[in-house]
Amino acid sequence: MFCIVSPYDLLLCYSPSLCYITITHVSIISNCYLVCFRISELESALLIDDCDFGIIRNISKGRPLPADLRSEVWQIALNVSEKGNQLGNFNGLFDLAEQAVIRRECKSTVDRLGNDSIEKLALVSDLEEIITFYSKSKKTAFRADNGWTDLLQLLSVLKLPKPQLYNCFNALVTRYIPKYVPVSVLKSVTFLVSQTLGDSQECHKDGRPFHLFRLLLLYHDPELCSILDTKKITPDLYALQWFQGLFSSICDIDVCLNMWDVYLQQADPFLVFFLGLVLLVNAKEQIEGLGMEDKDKIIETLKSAPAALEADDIEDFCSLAQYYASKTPQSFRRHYQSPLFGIHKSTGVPDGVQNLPESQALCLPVSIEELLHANELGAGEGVRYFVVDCRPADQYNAGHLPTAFHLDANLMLQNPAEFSTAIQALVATQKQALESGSSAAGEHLCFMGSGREEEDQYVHMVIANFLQKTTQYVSYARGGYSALHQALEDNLANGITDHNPQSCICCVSVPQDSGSTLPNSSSFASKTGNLFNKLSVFGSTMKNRAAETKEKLSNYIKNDFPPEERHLRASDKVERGYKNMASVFSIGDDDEDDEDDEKEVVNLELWFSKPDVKYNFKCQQIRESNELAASHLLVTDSCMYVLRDMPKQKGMAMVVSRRPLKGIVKITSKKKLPELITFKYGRHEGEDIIVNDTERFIIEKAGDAVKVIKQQVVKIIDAEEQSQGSTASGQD
Amino acid sequence: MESSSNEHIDYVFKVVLIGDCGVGKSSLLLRYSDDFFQESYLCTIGVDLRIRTISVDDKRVKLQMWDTAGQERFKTLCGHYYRGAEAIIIVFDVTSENSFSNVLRWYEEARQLSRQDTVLVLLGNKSDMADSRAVSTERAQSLAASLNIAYFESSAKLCDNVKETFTATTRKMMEAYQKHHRAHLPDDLTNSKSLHMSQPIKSSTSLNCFDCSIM
Repeated sequence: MFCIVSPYDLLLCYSPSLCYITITHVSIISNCYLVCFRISELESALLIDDCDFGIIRNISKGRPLPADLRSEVWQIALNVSEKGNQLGNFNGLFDLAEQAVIRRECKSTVDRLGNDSIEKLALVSDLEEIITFYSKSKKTAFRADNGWTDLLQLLSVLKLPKPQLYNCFNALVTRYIPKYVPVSVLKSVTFLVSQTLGDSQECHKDGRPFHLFRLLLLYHDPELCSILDTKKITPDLYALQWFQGLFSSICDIDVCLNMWDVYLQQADPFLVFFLGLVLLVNAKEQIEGLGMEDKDKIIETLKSAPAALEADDIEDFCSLAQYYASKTPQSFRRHYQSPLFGIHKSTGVPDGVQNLPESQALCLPVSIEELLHANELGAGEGVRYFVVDCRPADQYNAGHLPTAFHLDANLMLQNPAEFSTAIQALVATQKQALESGSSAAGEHLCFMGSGREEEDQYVHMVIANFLQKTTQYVSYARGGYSALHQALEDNLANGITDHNPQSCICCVSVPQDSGSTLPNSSSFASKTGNLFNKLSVFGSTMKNRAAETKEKLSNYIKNDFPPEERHLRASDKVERGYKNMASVFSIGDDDEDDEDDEKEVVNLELWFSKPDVKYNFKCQQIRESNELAASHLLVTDSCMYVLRDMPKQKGMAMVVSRRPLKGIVKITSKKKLPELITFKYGRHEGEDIIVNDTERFIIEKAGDAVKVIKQQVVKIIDAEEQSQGSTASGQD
Repeated sequence: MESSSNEHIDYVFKVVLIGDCGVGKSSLLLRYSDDFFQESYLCTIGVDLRIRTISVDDKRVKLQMWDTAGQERFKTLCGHYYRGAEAIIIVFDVTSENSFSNVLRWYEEARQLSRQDTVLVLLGNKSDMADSRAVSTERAQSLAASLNIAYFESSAKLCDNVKETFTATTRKMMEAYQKHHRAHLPDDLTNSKSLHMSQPIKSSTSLNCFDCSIM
């Protein structure tokens, strides 16, 4: 009866029914689908005093339960076995405004059960009491169509005493029935408000569960979603009863009991959405076959779809639903848990800032946390994403997820031909990544914008384009890059590739006049062609490397040498007058011209063996704080470098300074301590010497060092004089 | 259809089509950009984009036409696109009284979210379906007159008056631009939100100006 349509093969591997061969108790249970069930084991488990849900789940493995154990297992699964008599608090007054309706509905519910007449009467009064008390204690009005009687009808099959029946009902409604709080509607869209806040039915229509359901359908079957959208068949028209009664009003009672067996063991309140999804996907062909005029017919078909389920189908049905659930981003659960299944009625936006109210969301949102986490997991674990970064090129170049594929949304506007080429490249890259099992690989496309409306409207356009082409598994990163930036705040250097604090919009975060800066360079790049594009990318990587080093360095300094930072800043000021030295210590100050002089971390051996390094001397630099820092003086033909050992990284050193030999104006030593050498840097102005900076070292072989350096300085001065002389003589 | 990057473009205008579900916004654009009509209807998800470069009064004009979804669920999303538009075409279905009575709401929303100099146009589509017509040309005209906007009637199916509507709208945008342009000369030119392009697209400076406009 119930046919499995799409992921059939996967279901086979997934279905637990394949591993039932070891079963020992294949005895005489009424229904054949229970053969794979270890009944006696479950029975004995239930005898233990503290039998908990975990034990039950381990034994029954999410399969249907035997009828005689059902009520006990359900109570454990609903965690109500210890709840006592909550109904005892009922004041015995049946005085609700809708009391007559409650009584009538209870009666017709019991009539459907077909018990004998004495039982019936007792049950009707029980049900009325339960509903009345529930309605009062939860301050939720009863409506004939809100599914309570359907739930109670099924629960009453368990023949539980009244207090236990109430406890089960209470737990079931609270934990498994999605609430129908209408989503908040943006005030700016004035006429929308007046339209939707009409009667209570309209609230239903705008209810969160249906928006979520539509988003999930869009995620798994965009084509079907589009068909239903086009026919204006919204989920509230067919899925209301599914959600409110967990199929109890539609399915055959025995089928439904089996379904709930599985359902309560899964303990996943969102499973109903995926069960609904399976039903829809199964009905797809039928829906496609019906024309525009058959809207009502389609609705009826869908509404009654669960009725076609048979007891045998339940395991497959639930496994398929689980399959869909496993192929769905998980973060929506956290987002919807409290509004749909929370104890308190939630009216506002549940957590954090949202770009769009969910009713207006273009596709399923994925939280940044999930995105980052999914990247860490190994292949085959959960949903894996292929992140498509749609921000303008300049923003992308100023920092992006290491795994992100860049697709400039503006390209769609500027150059549609190039855009479609880019999409082809995207598809090819995704395929390639999947084949090679790269960490960037993922079947699921997650689009990332900046988190700002001005760019994200173009990102939405790109997403819509993918959805229009009925691309499966399309989501967007909630909050975009700014949320990513925030999430990685403590680890920007590692978490974000090419992160450049100077141009990253989140770092700069100066409120900008919308439109003044953003898309300029991006479209600029796309317009002026590939060459420029590459150049700008290259340029920014250059810059970024410097920025990264700086960042690492500042971290390093912060962590290991608290006093040094102060020192560096101080010396920075001193050296500012020095050409080519300006930015050596200026962490956070990005002067592109000084790229060569960025504080570098280098391999000592490598530097010692450089051909232009003539001499190197081991020394200790006396820092302003009078601390000693193990260092090396390296002398080339034109410069003297100070390399400081890095205690945490053996063999590595950072280039503290680079002094042109020409700039050394004085070298002095102390008589009492000949190893202490003072270098004074500056320039000659006529007869005067202007000293800009001073460095002091304790050099092991001070004599040799001074001698060598003096020689080199003299050489340079000689060479200069010669060249000056030659130019002078040339003029003669 | 698509302009090559070194083609001379005088203006780049953004046109947004709004109106109820199923009035034929996508069909109009499909007819105008690809000269094609699709009988079967499929609702637009979110927003769609079509681009066409045309010549009006010896000027080359690139039209970026945004096809928005009429569904309420996309209202907020689509509202973002109104702001940068040079023209907003409010489309209704002449066979649907309901779509006509919603025109006022669409108009208010467009006025609220768009710029002052944005050209608004009312367009009655499906003029070919004379038999099931529910809104007379006179009623539509008088509504447009009361809103002080132009009214056009077209049939995307028969390709009737589609091109003319877009050409006339383009002319209005050019007028509005020039008016706006004159009023704000000269220092507003560089960071003006309008998008006149006196230079071909490849020139980088005017490009920036162009991009500002779409925000």
